[in-house]
Amino acid sequence: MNENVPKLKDCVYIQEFDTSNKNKTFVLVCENKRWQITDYLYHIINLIDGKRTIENIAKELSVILGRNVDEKEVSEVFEKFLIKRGILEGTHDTVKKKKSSAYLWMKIPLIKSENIEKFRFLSNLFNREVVIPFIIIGVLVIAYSIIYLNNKGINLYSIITMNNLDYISPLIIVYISTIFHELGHSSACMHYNIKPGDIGFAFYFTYPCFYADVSKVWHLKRTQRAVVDIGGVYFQFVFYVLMCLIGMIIDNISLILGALLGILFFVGTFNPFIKMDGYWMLSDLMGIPNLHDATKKFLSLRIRNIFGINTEKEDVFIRDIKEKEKRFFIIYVLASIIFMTSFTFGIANVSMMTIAKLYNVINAIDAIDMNVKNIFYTFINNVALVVTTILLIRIIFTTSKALIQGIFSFVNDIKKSVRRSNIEY
Amino acid sequence: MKKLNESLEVERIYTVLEERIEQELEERIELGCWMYCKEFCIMYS
Repeated sequence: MNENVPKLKDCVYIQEFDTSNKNKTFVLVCENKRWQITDYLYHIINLIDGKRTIENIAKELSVILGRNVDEKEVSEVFEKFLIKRGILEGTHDTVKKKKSSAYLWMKIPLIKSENIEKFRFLSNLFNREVVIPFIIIGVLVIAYSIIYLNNKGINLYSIITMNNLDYISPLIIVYISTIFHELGHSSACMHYNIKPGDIGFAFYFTYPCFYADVSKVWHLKRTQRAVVDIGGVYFQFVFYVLMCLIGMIIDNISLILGALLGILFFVGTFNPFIKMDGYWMLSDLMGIPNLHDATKKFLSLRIRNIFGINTEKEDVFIRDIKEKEKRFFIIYVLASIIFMTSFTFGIANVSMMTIAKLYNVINAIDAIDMNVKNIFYTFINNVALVVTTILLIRIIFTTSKALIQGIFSFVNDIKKSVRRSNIEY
Repeated sequence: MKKLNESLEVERIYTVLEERIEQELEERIELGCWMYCKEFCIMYS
C-alpha cells in the first residue's frame, strides 16, 4: 500500500444498517467479517478511492463534517481501524476473530451452502399468500390430532407422564424436525435473496444441536431479520403438521405424539437469554446488535459509574439507542441478571450431582467382574455429566479471566482519568 | 493562549478516537437445540 494514497480491498463494501441507533449507522463488509460503523468512519471510507491522499481525505472530510479535520486525525483512524482490520490493500487483519459463542463447540458442517441453495423452492413457503393459510390449516390439523388421540384414550396429560422408553420414538421425530428447523432459517434467507451459510452439527454447552449460519442477514431490515429468526420454528411447525397428518392416515400414534411434544418444546426456543431463536428475534426487534455484548457492556459501564468513572465517551452504540428501545433493553438487562443467577445455581446443582454420580462410578469399578453390564450402564449415564464437569471448569476459568481483565481495565480507567485531569490542568 | 489551544486539540482528537467508531458484528448462528427435549423428559418422567 502506498501510505499516502490508500486503496480499499476489492471485497470491501458498505450498506446502511437498520438498528435503533439515533444516528445513521452502516455495515462494513470485508471477507467474512462485518462491522457496525458510525457515519464518521463511513465518510472516511467513502473518500478512499485509490487516488486521494490522506491529506486530501482530511480536507474533504473537513467540508463534510463542517469542522477542521487534520491529516493526523485521519492517519490515526487509518492506523487504529483500517490497517489493523485489513480493510486496505496490502494490509491484513491482525485482530483475533470474534467467537460466535464460547459454548458452541465441535462444529461439523453437514450441508454446504451450495447444496442448501438446491432447496430454494422451499423459500416460497414464506410468501404471504402461503404463510397465513398454512398456519390456519396447521392449527386445525393439530387440534384435530388432539381429538384423534383423545378418541384413542390418550390425552395431553398422558404425553407428559410417559416413561423414558415411551419417549424414544416421539423424540426421534423431534430430532429429525431440527434439521427442518435449520432449513427454515436458510430458506428465509433465500426468500430475501441472501446466500445462506452452512448447516451443521455442534454442541451447545453439553447439548447436541444443529446450527445454521445466517451471518449475512445483518444486511436485511430489522423485521426481515426477525422473519429469518422465526423461520426455523415455522418450518418445524409445518413438519409437525405433516407428521400429524401422516400419523392419522397410517394410524401411527408415535408420529402424532412426537409432533405434539415438539410443539411443547417451542416455548424453550424463545428463551431470549441463550443464543437461540428468541435471542436473535429480540436483538433484531429492539434493533440492538450483539445483544449479549451490549448487556455486558451496559452493566460494566454502570458499575464503573458507581465508582465515579466517567464512561460517557466509551460506547456510542449503547449511548445512542433510541429511548423506546432503550427502555426495553434495560428490562432485558435486569431479566438477564435474574436468569443468569438462577442458571449459575442450576449449573452448581448439576455439578454437585456429577460429583455424586462420579463417586458411584468409582464404587461400581470394584464390581467390574461381577456385573459388566452395570458398569456399562453407569458409564453411558455419566458421559454427559463428565462433560458438564469439564464445562464447569471452563466456565470458572473464563469467569476468573474476565475478572482479572476487569480489574486491569478498572486500573487503566483510573490511570486515564488521572492523565486527563493532568491535561486539563 | 497557545497552551489553551493545544489542550483543546488533545481533547478533540481524544473525542473522536476514544469513542468506538466501529464494532464487529457477531456471527449469526441459529441453533436447533434438543436441550429442552431432554430436560422436559427428565422433569416429567
